[in-house]
Amino acid sequence: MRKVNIDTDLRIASTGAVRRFLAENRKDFDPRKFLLAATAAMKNICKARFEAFGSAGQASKIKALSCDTMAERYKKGELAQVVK
Amino acid sequence: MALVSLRQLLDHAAENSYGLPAFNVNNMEQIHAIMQAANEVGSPVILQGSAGARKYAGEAFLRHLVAAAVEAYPHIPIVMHQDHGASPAVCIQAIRSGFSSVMMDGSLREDGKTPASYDYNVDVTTQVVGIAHAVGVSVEGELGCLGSLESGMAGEEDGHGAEGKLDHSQLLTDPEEAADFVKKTGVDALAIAIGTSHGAYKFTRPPTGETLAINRIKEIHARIPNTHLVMHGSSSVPQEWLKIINEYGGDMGQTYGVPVE
Repeated sequence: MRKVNIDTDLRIASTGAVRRFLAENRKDFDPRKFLLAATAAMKNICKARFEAFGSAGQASKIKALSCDTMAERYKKGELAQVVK
Repeated sequence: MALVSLRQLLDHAAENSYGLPAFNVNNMEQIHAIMQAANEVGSPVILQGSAGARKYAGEAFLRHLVAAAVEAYPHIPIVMHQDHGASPAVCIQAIRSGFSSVMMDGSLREDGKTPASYDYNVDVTTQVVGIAHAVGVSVEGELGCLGSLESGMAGEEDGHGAEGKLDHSQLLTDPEEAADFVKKTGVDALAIAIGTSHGAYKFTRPPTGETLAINRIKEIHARIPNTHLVMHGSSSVPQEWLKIINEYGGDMGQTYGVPVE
C-alpha cells in the first residue's frame, strides 16, 4: 500500500481534545483555545503517521515537477502502466 | 515548491520504499496540523478534499486554504487530491480548481451509493484519465466496494459509500480484474477493497486475517507493479483518544481500526 487515507483519526483526536479542554476549562469561551488544543492533538497523529510510513525526511529529496511537465511525460509514454 | 501530482510523489515513494498518509481536509485547523507536522519531520504531504469538504467549506475556501499551505511551506511538496469523485464532471471541476490529482470512483454510480457495473467503472474512469493526463493531473480509480468482511455491511461516510449488504466478491478486489482495469483505464493509483470500511466503526474486535485480507494486497501488486495501491477506510481509531471522548461526556462505545503497522 503506497497511499493510506486517514480521516477518522484526526476527527477523533480533535473531538477528544475539544471535549477535554472544555470540560477542564469551564469558564473559557475563546474558540481559539479549544481549536488550538484540537490542532495540537491532530498534529501529533500526523507526525506519528509520517514517521510510521517512512515519509518523514523525504520532502527535501523531491524535485517538484509541474503538471505541464507531467503532461509531457504522459504524452511520451514514460508513465505507462505495467500489467503482468 | 508548489503543488506536485500524486503520481510524481507516489513514484518517488515507490522508488524509495516508503508510504504516505493522505489526510482529509475541511478547515484551517486540519491544514495547520498537517503542515506543522510535515514541516517538523520533513515529510511531503497529500491533502485531500471530499465532496463533503467542498460542501462544508465551499470550493473557494478549500482552494485558498491549500494555496495558503503552498505559500507558507514553499519547501514542502504538496499534492492536492480530490477524494471520491462521483462523476467525470466532478473530477473536471476539481481539475479546474487546481487539484493536482483526482479520484474517479466508478465503483459506485453517480449517486455515490449504488454499486456500479465493471463496464461502467471502466468507461467513466477512462474518460477522466484521458482528460486529466492531458493536463498532467493524476488519477486514482477504485475497484471493489468498501465494507466489512465481518458483517457484509457496506460503509457510508460523508454521504459516500454503498448501502446495504454486499457479498464477499464485492468486498474484495479481484487481482485478475484489477489487472484488466489498469490495462484498460491507465489509472495511476488504485483503491482496492480488502475489508476496510469508512468511519470509526470498522471492527468489533482487533482485525485478523479473516476480516482484513492483507494477502490480497500482495496478489494484486504482483499483477500491477507500478500502479500505486491505495487503502481507504484505514484510520487506526486511536484508543487513547477514544477513551478521552468517552471519559469527557462522549458515547462512542468500543471500536477498533486498522493497526498502523
